[in-house]
Amino acid sequence: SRNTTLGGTHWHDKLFEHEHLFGDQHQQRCDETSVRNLFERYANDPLDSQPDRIGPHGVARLLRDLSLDAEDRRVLVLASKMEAQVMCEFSLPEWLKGMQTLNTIFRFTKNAIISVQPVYQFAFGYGKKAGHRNLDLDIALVYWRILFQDQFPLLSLWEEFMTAQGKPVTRDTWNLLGEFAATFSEDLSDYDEDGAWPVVLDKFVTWARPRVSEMGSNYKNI
Amino acid sequence: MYSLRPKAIDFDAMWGSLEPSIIDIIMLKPITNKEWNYMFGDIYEICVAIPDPLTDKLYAAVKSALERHATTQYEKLSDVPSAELLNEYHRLWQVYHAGARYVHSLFRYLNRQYAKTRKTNEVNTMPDYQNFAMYIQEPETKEIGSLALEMWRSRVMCPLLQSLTSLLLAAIADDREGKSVGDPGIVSGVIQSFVQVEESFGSDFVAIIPQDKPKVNFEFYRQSFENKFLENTKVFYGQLADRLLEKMDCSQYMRTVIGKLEEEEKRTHRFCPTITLAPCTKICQEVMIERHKERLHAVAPEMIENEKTEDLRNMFILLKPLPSGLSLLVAEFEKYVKRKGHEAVGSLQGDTIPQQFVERVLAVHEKYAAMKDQVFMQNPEFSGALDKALQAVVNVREDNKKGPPKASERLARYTDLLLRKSVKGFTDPEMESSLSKAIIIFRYIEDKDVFQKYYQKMLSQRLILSLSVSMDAEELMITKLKNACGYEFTSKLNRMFTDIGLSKDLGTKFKDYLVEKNIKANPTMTPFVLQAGAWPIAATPTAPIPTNNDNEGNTPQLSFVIPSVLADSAQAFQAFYVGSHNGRKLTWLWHLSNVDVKLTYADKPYIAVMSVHQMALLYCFSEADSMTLESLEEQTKLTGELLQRNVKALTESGLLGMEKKLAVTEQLPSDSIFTLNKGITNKKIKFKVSVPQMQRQQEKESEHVNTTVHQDRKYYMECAIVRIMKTRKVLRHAALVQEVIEQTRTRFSPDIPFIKKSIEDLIEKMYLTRTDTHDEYQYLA
Repeated sequence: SRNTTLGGTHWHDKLFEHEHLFGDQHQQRCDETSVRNLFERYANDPLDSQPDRIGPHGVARLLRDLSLDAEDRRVLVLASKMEAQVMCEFSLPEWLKGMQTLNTIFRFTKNAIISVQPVYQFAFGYGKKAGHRNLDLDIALVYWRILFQDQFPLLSLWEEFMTAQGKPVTRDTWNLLGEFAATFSEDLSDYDEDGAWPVVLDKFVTWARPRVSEMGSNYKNI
Repeated sequence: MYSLRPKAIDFDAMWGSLEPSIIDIIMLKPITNKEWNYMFGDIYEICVAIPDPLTDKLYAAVKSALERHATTQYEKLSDVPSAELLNEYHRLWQVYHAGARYVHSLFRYLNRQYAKTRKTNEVNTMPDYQNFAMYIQEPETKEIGSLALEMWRSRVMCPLLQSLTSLLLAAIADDREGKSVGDPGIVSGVIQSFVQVEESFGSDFVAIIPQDKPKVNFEFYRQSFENKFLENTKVFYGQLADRLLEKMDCSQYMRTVIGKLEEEEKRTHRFCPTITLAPCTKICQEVMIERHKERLHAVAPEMIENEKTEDLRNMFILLKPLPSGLSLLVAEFEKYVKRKGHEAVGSLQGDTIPQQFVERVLAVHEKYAAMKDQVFMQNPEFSGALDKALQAVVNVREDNKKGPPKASERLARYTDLLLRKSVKGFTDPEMESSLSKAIIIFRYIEDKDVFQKYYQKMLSQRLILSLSVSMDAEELMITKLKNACGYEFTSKLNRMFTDIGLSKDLGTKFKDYLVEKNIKANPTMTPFVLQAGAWPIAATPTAPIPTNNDNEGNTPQLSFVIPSVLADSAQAFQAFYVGSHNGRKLTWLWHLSNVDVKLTYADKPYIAVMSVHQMALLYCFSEADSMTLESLEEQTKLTGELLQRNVKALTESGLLGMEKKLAVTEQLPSDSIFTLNKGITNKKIKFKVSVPQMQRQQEKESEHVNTTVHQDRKYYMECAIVRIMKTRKVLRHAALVQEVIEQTRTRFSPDIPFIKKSIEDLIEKMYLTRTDTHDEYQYLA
């Protein structure tokens, strides 16, 4: 079974580099006023239309200040800690909650390891269009890349397979893929067809096995 | 008479007279009743003597007397030449054994004393295992009979054991070679003595306590004779088998072995105690069959291939007793039947494919069921193999295994032909047996739901168009289906039946209504009122319904203009029906209605039976003798292929003439001109205009059946899963799949991906969820 955590320490360090953004809260108690001030700094961006929220442009600015790329895994971790409901937006309650959580993490653990599963499961709801049951494939593909890069050796095969299928992703498939990625060996020899895996994963395994064995050695090098 | 009161006795004097008499008795020398009684009395007195009973002394004296006697017997035998030994031993044993019984009986009192003490001891110590274990060590004292036998065993048999056993084995070997062994009673008698010396004579009072029944102990027999005998048997038949196989082929070998096995069984039965029969047979089977079964297996496929019934029967007999000995033969049989079946149904051609299919599968079934019964003696393993093979044949997927199995459709068409009125009439028993045969195949069908769909369609046609050969036959078939598949399976078919019955009543009531209300509604009509849902038609009209969107406000069905002459009847019925069944909605299915049309312009008063569509077309010619296709379309609002086909049917029947002949496949141009053929002639007064088969109708039908079946299955599957999960609440994946297969078996055989997909869909719909445990689901209320 593969390591199912993300390198949380890195993103911890990153925050330290930008101490000035967060005041000195990591040393003292989480100070609500300074967190609110920080929120005000990014909320109500003139280019954003949503009042009293950090909108897409505000988020972009925040990421710039944090030197984070939009497709950085840590952005999703941040959003998941905030329990953000809408992509690229933060409300004040979300912001307060997220900062509180992060502060706790930093204060008590010097080497914060953040488990990938909650972030992964969060990502489905986060990326899903409101009112839709399933996650659009294009967004799913982006998230998989963000979250599974270097984590799931079969990622590019999976992407190829799903692109060919061209269907939106159900929550069940999404969740089970997380488990799938963490469970089976790279050549899929230990995959259990009689198990409860979704049909789409059965199909993927059938499709991928010959390809994996063909490119077996390449994958081992990754 | 003597007194029973204990008294002092002179043991030596008493024993002095007892001893020779005891020896006389054991040698079966005659003694008088009086002597016997005196002896009995003496023994009693010794046992109850005062001041102390002398039982033990008596026992010791008897023991040494018997010992001496037995030794004498041995001495007699030790001089006998070996050729005579068995005879002589047997003679002496017979005497000794019988004599010992009398002596045993003479010492009844003593036996009883010992037995009593033993009994009390046993009862007292029974619950305590350790005490009991101590007790089961060979008791010092025995009943006198057993003591006598023990003496024979130790003083006579043991020293002679070697010679006796080898003589016995030699005699049996002679018998096996077919040589005479003299009196077989001697051999079996001597063998019997090995068992008899371990038996006890028992006595009336011992038998009172049932658990005390003397158990026959075969230990001595086993160790001193049976083991050697079995060893001997193994060697003998092992060598025999090798010799036989050198000069015989398998088929001869099997015949011979069966004979040998029977002989040896009889022989063992004749010579040995029954307990030896089973191990002896087992050894024979081991060395003659098990050891060479590869050779039998090697020829099995060929024998099956050539249907060598006798050989196969022999092989079956030989292999059956071996542990899982039949599996290879069973597998070969299955493979063979499957291949024969595939061959039989692989090359179907022509219009009668359904009949060919059914008949050929039945022929295969009949042939190999007979083989299973006669050759393989109705063995369940072979029944299973036959069923599996036929199931594979019936449900074979054609077109490179991609297409759906055709069996359901074919079987439905086959039954349709049986149940349709035809020239060839069936008697009731013939019909019954034909339908039963259809059921044989039906049971093998995996996707019974597909059959149901086809059957329902065809039944509906037969019922509506009154094409059924008889209602009894129809009902018989439905009953058979119900028996095979359950009530639910035939419920729709039953509802269709009910509709037809109710419609007859309704027709009568309608007539009464017309008379009562004094309504003239000509022509008379026979209504069929069919409940929506039960019939496969309303949802799926077999003829395409013309759509005419220009015709405002009309539903597509109404775009067809019914001939005015029919309108009165239709309206009258509508009024009658809606009046008596408030709130019900009638939809007219013109494309399924038939009319009798009387031709008044021809030489004879012909009656042409045709569909309402055809009549509408023909009716246009009341006003004009010739018309263009275009104006026919205009007047009837029939369009497209429906129009084309019906017009063609009318021209083909001779009712209409056309200016120039066109090939059947050709499209009629809209300016084609048709004329009423007034010179029409027909051999029959009443004739039928063929109902046009819509292009690729059968294929469309199949296609349609397949899609509806898929939907039905999906629904049925989800229901089954929800039902199971509702009761179980939490269930492992494998268990759920198993139960689902179990529940859907009577209708179809779902594949695993289909089941999994349904489970996933139910997860999506929040009926189920996965638990934290891997491979497990939970029901969400």
